[in-house]
Amino acid sequence: MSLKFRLIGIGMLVLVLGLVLSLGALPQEKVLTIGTTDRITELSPANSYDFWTWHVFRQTTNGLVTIKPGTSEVIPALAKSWEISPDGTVYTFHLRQGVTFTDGAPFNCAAMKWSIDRNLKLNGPKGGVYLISMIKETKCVDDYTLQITISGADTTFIKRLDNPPAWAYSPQSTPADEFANGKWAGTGPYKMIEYKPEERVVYQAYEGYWGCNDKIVTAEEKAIFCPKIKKVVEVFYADAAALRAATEAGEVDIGFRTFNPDDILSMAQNPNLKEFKAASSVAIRYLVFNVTMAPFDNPLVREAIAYAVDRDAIVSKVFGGINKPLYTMVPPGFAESENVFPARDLAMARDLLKQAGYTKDNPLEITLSFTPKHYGTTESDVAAVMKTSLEETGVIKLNIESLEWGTMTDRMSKKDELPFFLLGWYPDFLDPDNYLAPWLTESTVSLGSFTTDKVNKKFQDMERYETDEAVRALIFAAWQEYMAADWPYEPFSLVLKAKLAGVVSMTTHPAVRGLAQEAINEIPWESTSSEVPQPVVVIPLWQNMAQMYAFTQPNITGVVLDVTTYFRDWLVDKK
Amino acid sequence: MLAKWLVARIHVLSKQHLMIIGMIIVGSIILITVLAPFIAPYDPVNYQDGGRLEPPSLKHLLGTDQLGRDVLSRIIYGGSVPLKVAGIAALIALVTGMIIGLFSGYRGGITDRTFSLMMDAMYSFPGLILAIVIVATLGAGIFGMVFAISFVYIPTYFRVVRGQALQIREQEFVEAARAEGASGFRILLKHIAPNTVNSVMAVLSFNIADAILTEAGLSFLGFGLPPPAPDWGFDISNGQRFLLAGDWWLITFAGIAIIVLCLGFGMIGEGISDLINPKRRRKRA
Repeated sequence: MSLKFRLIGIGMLVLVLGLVLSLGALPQEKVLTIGTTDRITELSPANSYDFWTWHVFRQTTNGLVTIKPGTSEVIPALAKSWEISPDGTVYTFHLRQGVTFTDGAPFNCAAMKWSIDRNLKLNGPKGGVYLISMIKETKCVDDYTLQITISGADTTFIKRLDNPPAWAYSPQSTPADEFANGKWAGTGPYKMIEYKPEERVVYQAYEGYWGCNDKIVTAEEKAIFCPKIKKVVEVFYADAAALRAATEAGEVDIGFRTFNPDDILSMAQNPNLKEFKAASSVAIRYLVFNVTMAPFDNPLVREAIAYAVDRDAIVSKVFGGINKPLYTMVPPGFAESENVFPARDLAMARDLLKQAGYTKDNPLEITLSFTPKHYGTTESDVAAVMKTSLEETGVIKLNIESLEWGTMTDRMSKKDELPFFLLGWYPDFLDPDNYLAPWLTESTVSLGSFTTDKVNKKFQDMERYETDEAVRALIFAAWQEYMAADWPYEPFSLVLKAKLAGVVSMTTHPAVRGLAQEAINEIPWESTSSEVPQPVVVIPLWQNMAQMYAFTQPNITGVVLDVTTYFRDWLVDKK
Repeated sequence: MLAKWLVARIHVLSKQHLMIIGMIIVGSIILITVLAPFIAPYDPVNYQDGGRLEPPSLKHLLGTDQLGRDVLSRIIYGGSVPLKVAGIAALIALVTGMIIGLFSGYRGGITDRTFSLMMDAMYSFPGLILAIVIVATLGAGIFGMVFAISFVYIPTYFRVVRGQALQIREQEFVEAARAEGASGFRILLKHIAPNTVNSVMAVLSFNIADAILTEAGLSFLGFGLPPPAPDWGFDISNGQRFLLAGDWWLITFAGIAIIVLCLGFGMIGEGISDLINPKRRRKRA
């Protein structure tokens, strides 16, 4: 090669090197990477009801109110203030002005009303729209004043509004008459710019977000609404082991939901990782019966299983002690929580089964369904422990069926397809109502219990009308007793009767008094066969701490794991 | 030094020696599996009050898993499903493949071309993937796995037998038989089939080894028996998540068991193919 060519070649090399090196000096965009083993089901606010799908909506739009991070306090979001009518049925919200959707459409009362009406109308079978089903009417008094009328006074209503069915969706980009299926625009803080199922979701901060606008929010509000990092990538990992490996290798900034309990125990010792965990757990795990499907339509069978489950074995063998056994659906973090389910008693279980006609020669053959990934890789161990502990009665033969999460949620809401299964719950709003009503009254179809016990509705109405905390606590205590009652094996507990009588005498609401008296009259205290009650529709098993851990790289701040269980991507910062 | 000595020894090992070792391995494993209820020290399914994730010790020779179950007992019982599934599936594939192969090879013409095309298509599909598709459709469990695995291996036997059938039907004694008036069926049965048995036997052994790996793969992916049934493939899948925490014994021993069993069948296969291969025999003589 001649000298000229060589010189040109070297010159080009230097040029290229210089370019490459200078690129490194350009300010890099900060990207937050979060790893999870959760999955998204269907991105439709009216037809989804699972954690990560709702998490995506939470990052991309807002509702009238929200919960202040780190607390259980309701604070203004899209509504800057509101009033409640004296009879508790009319809520008037004053909306913030100057807010826009990420597609440019203006946010106003018409858009908010449109969103709520749309979701109420679509009300998908796999959705959680029932949470706001008490809404009778939405009305726009003017462009920025929304009036919502509900069917009866309900102290839980305002808290229920912090869920996707009650949030704002742009009429310009969201389909009006069919499920959104990934097509929507919200008010921010982020816009979803990419979704590859089973792979990742990518968000980009919305430049026109109201929560960053000093003209719309105060400095204090800006700190809790405005995103610190502009681009977020959430990556879906195959299982907990992969998530752990990725977190320890630094492939993700944050790993959240759901690590193996053994991994949690050993990662907590890792000096290169920061551990975040919720102060207490409001997530629970339990069994559900479809009480219309034999043999679970026989309350004796359900009660026998309640006596045969071995919570201690589950908690110690499967979770190495990280989780805690649960003897009521309302977790101990709530003052209204009361242990009402029995301790393990195999003799009692056998006795109940004998009364139901099952013996060693005629065993009870049943199938328990579980989902192998959604709740973490420990679920098949839980099923194995359930099998061993139930078969220890000598009278039960338990088959185990593994169902993908999507299939399970599908079959759950069909009348004859899923008789007995393991399920989990995290609260939609922080109130004991949300630990009883879903399976007993509100959502008996989409949660698979199919119970028709009308007395449960009386308890629900009582606690929703009642405003006095002490009386409300008594109502919840009575309700918990009722749904776990050992009936008809024993005559109904005098304790339950006394509690209901207490409600009658203590309450100052005539409606509540009336309902309590009706309940006392309608419950068959002495009889041994009836449609009412339908006890043990669900069996609480354990309080789930395992899902409330996040492990992060040392330079991460702003991870808030509070009682709401929400993960707010926008609060996180990276040094 | 040790390495050189070993290598020298291995060269001297004939294929026959390998076959015998293979038969001993397979025979032992089958024996252990059959005698499982008598020799397993603990219940492989129901946990006792033992500790969880205990490393190998005198009390639990191969340690315990995350539910406190004895790993040794699970290994002893765990060979049952792979052996049964692989064995039955291979035999079904053999009989089916052989029948179709004989028929196709003898008839020739369009029949042969059609079957060959079908079988080539099946053969070219990656075995494990095809098995997964079939099991996903039929449902997990023993029946699904047996059907899937036998389906996947039919082309293997078809090819071998068809090739032999094509070859043998041209030979003189077959022409003689035809001249005598023997029916096609009779010729197949009396003259052709027996001559294919040797090759089929060799294929069978390798095939079982492969079927065991496929069964392990299916169980690993969750298409086998539901938990807590003991199965080596399932135990490997189960043991994965404990590796990072340093609990190696859940996954290792199940893996070794599968490898050893496969090796055993493979060695038998080598031995048989050596026995029937005239070229090799001549060389040694």
